[in-house]
Parts: sequence; C-alpha cells; structure tokens
Amino acid sequence: MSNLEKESCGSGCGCKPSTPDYWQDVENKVVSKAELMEFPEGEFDNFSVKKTRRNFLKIMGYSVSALPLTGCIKIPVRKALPYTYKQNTIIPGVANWYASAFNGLPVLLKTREGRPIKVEGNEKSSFGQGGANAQAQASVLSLYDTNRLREPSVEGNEVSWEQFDDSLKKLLSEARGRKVLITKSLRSPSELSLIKELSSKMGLEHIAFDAVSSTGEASANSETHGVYTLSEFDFEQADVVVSFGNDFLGAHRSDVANAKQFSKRRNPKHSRGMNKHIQVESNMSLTGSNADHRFTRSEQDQRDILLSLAAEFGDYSHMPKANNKEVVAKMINELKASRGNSLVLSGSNDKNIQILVNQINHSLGNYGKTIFVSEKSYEKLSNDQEIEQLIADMNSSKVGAVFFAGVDPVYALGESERLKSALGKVRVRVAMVESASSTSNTANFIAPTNHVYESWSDEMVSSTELAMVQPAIQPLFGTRMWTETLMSLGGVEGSFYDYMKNYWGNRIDWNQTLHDGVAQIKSEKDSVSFKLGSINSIAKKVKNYQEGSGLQIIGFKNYAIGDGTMANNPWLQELPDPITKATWDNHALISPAYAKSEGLATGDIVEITSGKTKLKLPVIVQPGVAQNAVAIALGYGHSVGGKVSRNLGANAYSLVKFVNGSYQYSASFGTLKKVGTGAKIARTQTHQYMEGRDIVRETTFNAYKKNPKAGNDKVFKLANVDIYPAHKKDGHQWAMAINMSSCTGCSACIVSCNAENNVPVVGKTEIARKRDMHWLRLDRYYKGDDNEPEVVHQPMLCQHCENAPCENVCPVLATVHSADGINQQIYNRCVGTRYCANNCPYKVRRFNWFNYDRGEEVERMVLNPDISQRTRGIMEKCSFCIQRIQDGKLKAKRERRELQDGDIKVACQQSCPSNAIVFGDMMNPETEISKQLADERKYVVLEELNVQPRVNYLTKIRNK
Amino acid sequence: MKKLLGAIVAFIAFGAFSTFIVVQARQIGYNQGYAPDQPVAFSHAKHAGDLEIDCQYCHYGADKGRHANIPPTETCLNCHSQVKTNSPEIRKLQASVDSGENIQWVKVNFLPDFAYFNHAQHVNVGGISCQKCHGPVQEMEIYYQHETLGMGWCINCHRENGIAPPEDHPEINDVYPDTQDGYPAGAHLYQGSGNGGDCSKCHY
Repeated sequence: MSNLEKESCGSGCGCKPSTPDYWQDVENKVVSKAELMEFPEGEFDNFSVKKTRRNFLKIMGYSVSALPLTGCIKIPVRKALPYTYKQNTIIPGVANWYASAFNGLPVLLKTREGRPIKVEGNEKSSFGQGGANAQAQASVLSLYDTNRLREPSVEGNEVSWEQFDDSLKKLLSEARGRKVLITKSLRSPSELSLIKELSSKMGLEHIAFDAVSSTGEASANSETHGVYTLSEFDFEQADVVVSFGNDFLGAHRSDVANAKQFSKRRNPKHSRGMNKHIQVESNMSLTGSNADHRFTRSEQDQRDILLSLAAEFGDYSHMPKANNKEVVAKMINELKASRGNSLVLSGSNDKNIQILVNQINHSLGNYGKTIFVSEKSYEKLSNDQEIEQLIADMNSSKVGAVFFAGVDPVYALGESERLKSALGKVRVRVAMVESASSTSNTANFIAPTNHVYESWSDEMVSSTELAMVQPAIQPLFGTRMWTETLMSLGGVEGSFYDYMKNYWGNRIDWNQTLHDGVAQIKSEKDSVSFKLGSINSIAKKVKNYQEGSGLQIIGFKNYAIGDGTMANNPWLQELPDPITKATWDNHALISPAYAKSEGLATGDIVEITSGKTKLKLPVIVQPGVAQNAVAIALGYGHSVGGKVSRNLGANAYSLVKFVNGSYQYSASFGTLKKVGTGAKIARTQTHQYMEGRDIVRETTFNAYKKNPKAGNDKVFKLANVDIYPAHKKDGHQWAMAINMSSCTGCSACIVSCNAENNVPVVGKTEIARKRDMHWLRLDRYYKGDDNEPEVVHQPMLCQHCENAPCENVCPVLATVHSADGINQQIYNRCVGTRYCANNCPYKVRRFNWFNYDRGEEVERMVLNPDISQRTRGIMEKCSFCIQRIQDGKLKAKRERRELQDGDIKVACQQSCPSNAIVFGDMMNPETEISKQLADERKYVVLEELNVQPRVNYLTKIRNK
Repeated sequence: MKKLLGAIVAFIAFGAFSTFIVVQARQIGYNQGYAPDQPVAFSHAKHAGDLEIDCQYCHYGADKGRHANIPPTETCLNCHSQVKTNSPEIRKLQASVDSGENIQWVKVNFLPDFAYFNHAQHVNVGGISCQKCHGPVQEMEIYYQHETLGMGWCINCHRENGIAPPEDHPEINDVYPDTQDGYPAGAHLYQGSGNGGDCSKCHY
C-alpha cells in the first residue's frame, strides 16, 4: 500500500482505506501509482514571468502614486432610459414568468425586462413534473444565437416579406407536380389543422422527417395495434425494466418524464421497493450506466437474446448462444416474477425487433399497465419511406415545390449528394429555418422563422396533456413564424394566434391554459388492443438478419447534442458527455479489448471507412462498448451553420443506412485504420481519482434491507478541536443532500447552473487545458471489469464546508463564511491568488483566466442581471444560488410571513429530472433536508478531513 | 541641523502625501453631490415639495422590486397633457411620446455592478423613507446625490438599525473602522434571516 493511501484518512485513526477498485478511465487503470502523482500535462506550463524585487517596487511605487489621481477623474456620464410608454406587466427588476413548451416538454420562461433568461420545467405538468433537460435549459441561449437569419431572401437577395410572398406565389403558380411540406414529427393540433386546411386549398402534402427516426417503433405499433404511433410508458409501475440499447433516461425521447417516473422507484423506501433495471447494449449509454445489471453485447447478440425472450414468451423456439445463456436466464427469471409490472424496451429502429418487443410486453400483460398505445388524432409522425419516396419522385421530376420547416434533411442524411441532386430538379425550394443549414443552402427561397420562444403554437406532450407555446419576446430579427408564412401563401387570413384561438374555441379555457401552460385533455391514457397473432415469421426475419462483415459502426445520439439540431449552442457543446466526459467534439469510441488488440489508445486519430464514406475521428477507449464495434455520436460535423458547430467532429449520419423500411443507425460495417496520434481531446475529467478513499459509498438493495446503514458504516474518529471558534448555528442554516441512487448523471443541472449564474463558456482549447468553468461537475467512476463496468455518477460542487480550507488561506478575506452557513466568494475582494483553489480538497473552485465575455450585444441578453459578470483574475464557485436565497427571503418578508420549506429552490435542484437534489434549512426539523440528513444513508465526502461539508450525499443503492 | 530639518520636512511631506493618498483613495467612486444637467429641466422641489406628489406615483417599482425605476414618459403626460402644455420642456415630453423615442436621463445614483441593492427590501420590508438615502428630494430644484452611497455608509445604517454584521465577522469593522462611531462592533446581531452584514448579502 502506498504512502498516499495510508495518508488518505487524515485523522490518523489507522482505518483501512476502502473501495480501492474504482477507476477513472482505461489508460489510467493500468498506470503505476508513481505516474498518477505527476501533475497533469500542461497544468503548470509557462510560468516564467521575470519577477525581480526591483521590478516589483517600480510597479508598486507607480500604482500607489497613481492611485489618488483616479480620484480626480470625472465619472463617466451614464444614461438611465425609461420606457416611453408605460408597460403594465413589466416592473423593472422583477421577473415575469411565461408558460411555454420546448420540444415536447412544458417549461416556464423567466423573463427580465422582456428578455427570456432562464428556462425551468413546468410543475403544473403531470408529464414533465417540473424537470427540464439540458436542451430545454440551453434553448434560451439559442434564442440569442447571432447566427440566426434576419431577413427573408429570394435567390440569395434580401427582400421584404411582401416581395417574398409575391415572388413565391408567382413561382408556385408555375410549379407543376407534388407540393410537399416537410416538418419534424408534429404533435401540434392547431398546426396540423392548418396544414390540413392548406392541403385542400393549395394541394400541399405533409411529410414528417426526424433526423433520428422512430419509424421502426411506430411501424411496429401499426402492425401490432393498428395505430401508427409511439408507445407511452409508466416507469413508476414497472418493477422490472429490460432495455435493449434504449437510452430512455438519456437521449432517446421524453427523458424528463421517464426519469421523473423511474427515479421514484430508485428510492429504497418506495412502497413497492426498488425497481430492477437490466440493460443490454453495444455502447455505454447514460441509461446503461445507471442499470443494476448491464451487459455489453453486440447488436447480433442483442437479437439473439431478444429472440430467446420471444421464444420464452411466445410461440417460437430459439436457443440462445452460449455466451448469452446467463443473461437470458436472468431476464426470464425477473420478468416472470413480475408479469404485468415489467417493461421491455428496445432502442432499435428496426420494425421487426420492435414487433418482437411488443409481443413480449403483450405476453407479459404489460399493456395498459406500464406501456400504452393510444389512438392519437393529433400527430403526424415521421415515416422514413415517405422521404425516400419523395427523393425518388424529385429525381423523376414529379415534385414542383418543397417546403422545409425547421428540418435539415440534407445534413441529416449525411450531406447527401443524392438529396442535393434530387432537389436540383425541384423548381421551388423553400427553407423555413432559424439559421443557415445544409438544406437552406439548396433552397431558392429562405424564410427565416421565429425561435420557439417568439412563436405561438401548441403541442400534445403526451396522449392526455396539451401544452401551450406562447411567445415570451417579440421577434428579435425580421423573422416570421413558419405557420404564418404558409398562411400567407394559402391565403388564410389573420395571424397564427387568431387561427389557434379560433381552432380551440370553447374546447379549452384559453386564458387558464395559457396561464398554466398545460391542460389535461383526456383523463386517462387508453390502450388499443393487441392485434398480432403469430410472431413466427417476424422472428425468422430477425434471426436471418444479414449482418455485414468487419467492424460494426454504431451511430448514437449523445445526451448533450442529441440529433444535432442544437449543435450551435455553446452551453451544450461545452457540457461534458455524461459518459466520456468529452466536450466540443465527437469521437470514435472503441472497447478496451479492441484497442489493445489493434494497439490503439485514447487520442489516436483513426479513419473509419465504410463503402465510400470515410470519417476521421479521434479515439476514446470507452469501457462498455462491444468488442467488434465503434460507436460515433451523431449530430456533429456540420459543414454549414453557426460558427460554434461548424467543422466540429465528423458527420456520422453519412453512415446511416435505409434498411427494411427505416433508417438504421448501426447497420454499417467498415474498417478502422490509425492515421495519426496526439489528438487534443477536451475532457473535463481524466485527472481525478478516488485514491483509495471512499468518495462514493454504495451498497445493494438486499444489504440495505437488512441494514439501512450498509455501505455507510465507517466511523471516523475525528478530533473535535479547531483553532477557530465554531460558527454559530442559529437563524437559517442552508444545506444540501444529493441522492446518489436517484442521480442518473444526466448533467441537466450543469446547464441550469450555467444559465442561472452567468457561468462563461471557455471553448475547446481552454477545456483541454483543464480550465473549465462549470460550478457543478459530475464525476464519473467505473468499477470492476473493463468490458462491463459498473458506473457511478457523482455531482460535485462547492461543499460549503464549515471548516472551509479555502477560507483560512485567502489573504484578502475574499472567501468567508456567512452566518447562514454559506461559503461566500466575494468577487470584488478577490485578487486572484488562487490559494483557495489550491487548498480546496474537492477542487470545485474555478478561476477566470480571461475575460470570457465577448461583448456581443444579442448574446448578452441571456445574462442574469442579478448576478455580476466575473472578470479576468477572479475566482468563482457555487454560491448555493445566493440570489435565489435572497429572493426567496425577500418574497417571504414582503408577504410578512415565515420562510417555508420549498420557497427557495437552487437551480440544479429545480431542473433535476430525477429529484436527486434537496436543498433547504437544516435547522428546521420539518424540512425535507432535515429528513434527508437524518437518513442512515447520509454521508459526506472526505469526512476524514473534518471540513464538515454542508453538502451531503446518500449512499448509492443498486438492486442486484 | 540642516540635515535634521530636511529630514523633518521630508517626514512631514511624506506623512501629508500618505494621508492625502489614503483620504483620496477612500473617496474613489463616491460621487456625493453629483448633480448633472438633465435633458428635461425637471424640479423635484416643484412636484414632490410644492405639489406633494407621492414619490411612488412615478417611481412605482420602489415598493415592488429591485429598481425604483424612472417613470415612463407617458406618466408625465398623465398631467402634462393638460398642464403647461406650451412649456418648451413639456413639449420635449410630448415629442418623446409622439416619436416613441425615450428621454435620455442622466443617471445620478449608481452602485457598482458588484453591489446588489434592492429597493423593495428597504422601502417595503424595512419601511424606510426615501429621504433617508436620497436626502431632502422635496427641496431639490436640481436633483443631486445626497449621500456617498459607499459601503461604509450602508453598513453604518445597518448598525444603527440593528441589522449589523454578525459577531463572528469582526473583520468588516477593520475594513471600515470609521463606521464604528458610537456602535460597538457586533452589538446588534442579525435578526433571524434579516442579517444584513454578510458579504454575499450584497455581493454576488
């Protein structure tokens, strides 16, 4: 045992360091301890400024003599501009909240003086339950994207909207053939009604296209239930969840709703106990990293396992391969024990696989309990066959006009030359987009459309709940809602607002729905009956599926960037991937075993060839990737678009194949060749190790049931002496508890914190220098086997220690303790010595190496005006959202009442889709935080240092 | 002797210079008495003094939020669409409303960006009169900054009113010793959540 580990318990109590088997990444798992202690490369470069006593005195003397001169300088004249007309709804300095929805998630928009600055989940929604994911949080920055198009243009010339409409109408009247509108999958009743009206007026056809399609699942439901729709789930009712590569907690779909339901069953005190989650996948997904049992299996093996389940629960016979027998036996065991309370899912876009999954759910009696398929008259879902048919029709000159509304198929079909040349044969090509894209570059009419927060719309977020989309700001630029562009072409009078209001009429209470943001249209989810008879022929097709040869290439949506629609958002680009912890790029993820056999390492550059497609990417050796596979995130490699996303990574959509009626994301095979080394990978977490300390405490559900303190029974004998007087504890004392069992590691909290606290974006180069600015980070640790590791996610933020090591090293009292237990960072006192960061055992302090504010007027509109912008040379860190604490207290005082539990919610807590974070006053025994602090699972990180953190953790419990 | 004299002169000069530096340095950023010309010759003495119009008739945010706010031009025209419409000053207001261009008032009171101040906290919760900080506004023909609006001034008032820095942070007294006059440091401790002495009550 090295010295390091012996010293890990600072109290010298002689206790044995536990949990030495966690590891951070594959390379470092094998390096020697001596190497671990080296400073990370680049950490202490270029500190060679000439410092002499003489120079110091010169500068000192000058600055002291110059100081009084500053007193003689006249203060600059500053203007105070009032509104000219009284704004009845706006009180300067007081936030207004508007309900809206973003991508199927009901949200609330906080606006200050008319500018949306923060997105929160809408707690009135029974679907989203107040959670908000990273995309929704970051969407407010996309609103202020300076790359948005500002004026309509025809053939590259900027025109007015009147000229645009006139010339488009003229050309449309000459166009012969199909007129097609392409949107993403639409669930907006009023927009669909408008499109229907236009189809009869102008002969407009409607096709939906999603960059990452779900045609497979919808087609399967169409065969098994007779409805072309997607299933809905109730994870809270499911005792057992078996998922085949379905990233339902991450990028798959409705992640917030899923996580809200799922996390309730990760609480060991739930009346029905913890659920059991088994994941089989070929790439480490966010969902897989949370599974109780995770198996790394190739796509082929997954089909084998699925067929074995289908055989067990259907009229089919199949014997699993030897290496899958154990997995199959485990699944069958668990599923049989919870018929009707289980859920089987697949992330595949292959119709046949989804039919098998449906059959298994049907046999288990899950329909109507944990999974629902209902008739929905208000949705138009993507169908990959329709877009393929359209391309064929374009090529045979049967298409006269195409309208793209917010979709980028040229990019999402892999910069498809096939589609580009087909579009060349279409007379009228209208792009209704927010910013320039590969698709809009092929269009002759560009109609810039409003951001969703400048628009009116509505959306069915589930089969029972309607969400309203209302504008929270006037259009920033000369844009127009795409619906209004269509209305003016089709000669529909009025605005889209009028149309919507007219559409709903008396069916909803308009004002109340706008106020709440949501309305329950139906009381319960219904489920249509299962129709399919035998699965024999389907199972045969799955069995006889023709794999390619070579390395399997898996395209997947990662959590931050998703399908690439929001790739130009710097908050999302800088959000570390929950698994790889890499930012600003996509990578070739390969398994440790494959890396070893091919002599590859993280940072090597490889060329992946499949057919005519070649992609050059840096390698990350990722535990949990199937051995003969490479996983590549979709959504990167934009050749057109904003300066944030352009030429970042490679476009993996070029490897998507159209097979069996749908686009498939893991159907390509190819070869991988090393072409270089030394790629700079901007990862936020490769330099943190547990060093044998029990930073994460975990146990199993069975052990917990016997002893709630299981895994958390270590006692440190801490000397109760301190050279400083103890802090008084009266009034409010703020504390936080983070439930490690609920936390999925999704990182929505990071974006929420960025938005709330004006945390700057530093860019790829600075991240690579380990100068990331996120106040809150998620540490990810692996445990066990390289191929099938267990994963732990741990949110790490300022621990607000009572004996804070940072406080007593600050030479200028810039970080001091407040009376309510907050470790305060006072920017205007800070001189940037960085002693505090050096002395922080949790490494949560962040230093401004530069002025990151670019002074861009439009972008600055997103800043929270209650928080100061930090400048170069200032230390910053989590403040427990002090502005929210102050605001909550002020509100209570204005209403002449006591502060209630729940009045103050910190940003990370509010957005958390799994309710893992609790914050409140620990002096009041009635508060949620007091209850959590009394829990047997409660522990603090680095307890042995006796710094007495105010941030507490609850042990992670796995149900295995 | 000459040498000694020289040394004494040098010492006094150095002392005077140092005092000058310290005194001046403490005033940096203080603009007490600042009374800039305004685009419209508005008299608080007339409106708030003679006519006794309530402050919050115009500065309606003071009770509700962070900013007291400068009234929208329309508010002026509530009366001045009838009163003194021929005055050249009032015509400026009418022109503003007609054109939609706002009047560019010159800001008199301002705090640095790193200091957060909330009017509602003081006006609504604290029940402090406007004059406490802004001086005899009802007598000001030309509005000027009455107080230093410096941190020592803030802290001093909090002490007087028993909303003082907490006992375990005497360092604030070292930083602003002149605010201690008559108030033993830490004599009045915070009241529940009302403590106004922690740094991050204002600096965040």
